[in-house]
Amino acid sequence: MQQTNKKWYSGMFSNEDWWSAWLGLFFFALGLLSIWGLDVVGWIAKPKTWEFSNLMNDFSWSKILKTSSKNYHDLHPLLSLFITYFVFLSLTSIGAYFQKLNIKKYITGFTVIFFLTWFAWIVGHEAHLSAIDALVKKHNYYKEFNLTWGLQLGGGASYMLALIIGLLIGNFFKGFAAKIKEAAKPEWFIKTGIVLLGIKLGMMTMKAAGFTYELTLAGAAAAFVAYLLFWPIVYYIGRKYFKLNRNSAAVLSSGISICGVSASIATAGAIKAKPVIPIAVSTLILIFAMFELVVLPPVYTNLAPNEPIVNGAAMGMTVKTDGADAAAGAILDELMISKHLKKTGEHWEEGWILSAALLTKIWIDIFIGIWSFVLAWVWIRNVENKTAKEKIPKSEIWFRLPKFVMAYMLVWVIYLGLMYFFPDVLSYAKTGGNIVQGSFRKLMFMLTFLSIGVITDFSKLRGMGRLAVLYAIALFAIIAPIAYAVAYLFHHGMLPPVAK
Amino acid sequence: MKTLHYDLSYDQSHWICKGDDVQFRVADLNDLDMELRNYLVKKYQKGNFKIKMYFDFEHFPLWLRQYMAHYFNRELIYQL
Repeated sequence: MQQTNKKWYSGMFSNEDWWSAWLGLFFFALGLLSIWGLDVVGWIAKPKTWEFSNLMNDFSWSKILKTSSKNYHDLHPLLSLFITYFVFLSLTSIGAYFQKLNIKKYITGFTVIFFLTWFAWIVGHEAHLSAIDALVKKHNYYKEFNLTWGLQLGGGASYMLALIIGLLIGNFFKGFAAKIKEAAKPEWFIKTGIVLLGIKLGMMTMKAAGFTYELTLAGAAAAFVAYLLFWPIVYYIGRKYFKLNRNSAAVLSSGISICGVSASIATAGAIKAKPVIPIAVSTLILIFAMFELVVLPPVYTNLAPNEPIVNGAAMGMTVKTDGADAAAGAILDELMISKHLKKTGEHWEEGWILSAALLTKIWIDIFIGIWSFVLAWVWIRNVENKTAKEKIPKSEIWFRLPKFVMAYMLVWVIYLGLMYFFPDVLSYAKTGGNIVQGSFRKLMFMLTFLSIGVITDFSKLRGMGRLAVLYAIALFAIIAPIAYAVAYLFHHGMLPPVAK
Repeated sequence: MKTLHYDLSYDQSHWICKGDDVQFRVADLNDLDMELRNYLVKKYQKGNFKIKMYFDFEHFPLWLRQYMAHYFNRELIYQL
């Protein structure tokens, strides 16, 4: 089956980027129905904080699971979980069908990934792992369960557990991983989750408009500055000290310094490199992204516990690929909130640190198309074509523009529209919106954590030689420190609002 | 100006360009542009041609396609 982009609407129903926009907008629309008093999203299951001996003494599903809305409180929690499974399986299978995935394999893989994800999500909510000794939403589960010890990781425990399960499968049970890989689509899941995060951005704007605009603009400025610094430095080192040819150096520079796999493919396409180059670089990026995802959130949390937004923005510029960045941002969000809560008793509102990580990444994503266009122009000017005059079609920018970002912005703009033109319906819109940006979005994030682990195979690092060495040096000695300095410059002193 | 459409792919070692009832298999894109010129001269003798070339993303590994769904399209102008 051919996959060429000939018309502006090419790929609209056949690639995952468009499908994350469709799926995200569909969930968003369902949430909006609460404006008319319809709750069609409250059936989705969500995990509760529970304690092991308490559960074993008197087992009940309602101790570990509940529906997301009180309108569905009569629904058995297990039934709520199966409805959640059925709805997500059905909707993603429609997308998988149009993306020409093997539906049989997809259904099997998704079923395994879904239930393993929920296993991690529920276990991660065990009080010894998640409960924090502080008052959160009128509860102190640490005291309520009379705990004598606890890791106090908040929601971060579930994320880390899902990632560990995924990594174990991807690296030690490779045959099993191959069987479920058809449904391990971290980019699709996370992009859908990011579209839903547009609701959160809308709600954040209602709460603190000035701060949200400042965060958005600072994210754009930081991303732009980072582009101008990272790319030339990595390209120079690649050419001068690692003796890479021009094409490999350019593709690797974009991969390391811009936005990982998508940037390396876009750059390779712009300079018309042979496809083997971005494929090799992408393998490298995905493995390093996993190191970044595991290492950076705890490092930033402990090194700069009082700079949550700086840490989030630095994460957005350092961690490559949308999936790993959003995952790292989500872990950072949980770890920093938990640490601050434990230390001060003050509960920062969730989602702001994650949004800081995503906003820089989203601007980087938007710039990819433009950056690739500029590179294509520079390459054509420098490589003389003696037989024909070559032009760069302007449609190249459109084809490389991430469509899920358009959907994310659209969701945000719709919320802004409601805020300015229909303020009296806002509280109704928020009822459904909160469930969609909460339970729906978190499920997409959890699926991402498990899937990203399943597709990461560390053994692929073997044989990468000097590319891997250059990547490691560039990432930890150049990108991470510069990203942190730029993030500090633009976001220093910004703090998330305190949750009520 | 006559517009011709071609599909482009890569098979591990060579670029493959198909369209207008012809197929080229070359190691380098510059060679492709040269062969295309020779072909146009042979078939049409003279005239102005716009060549639109679309890379077939199907030739990228499946696991990679979720990150980016476009490689490149080309537009070449030949004045014979």
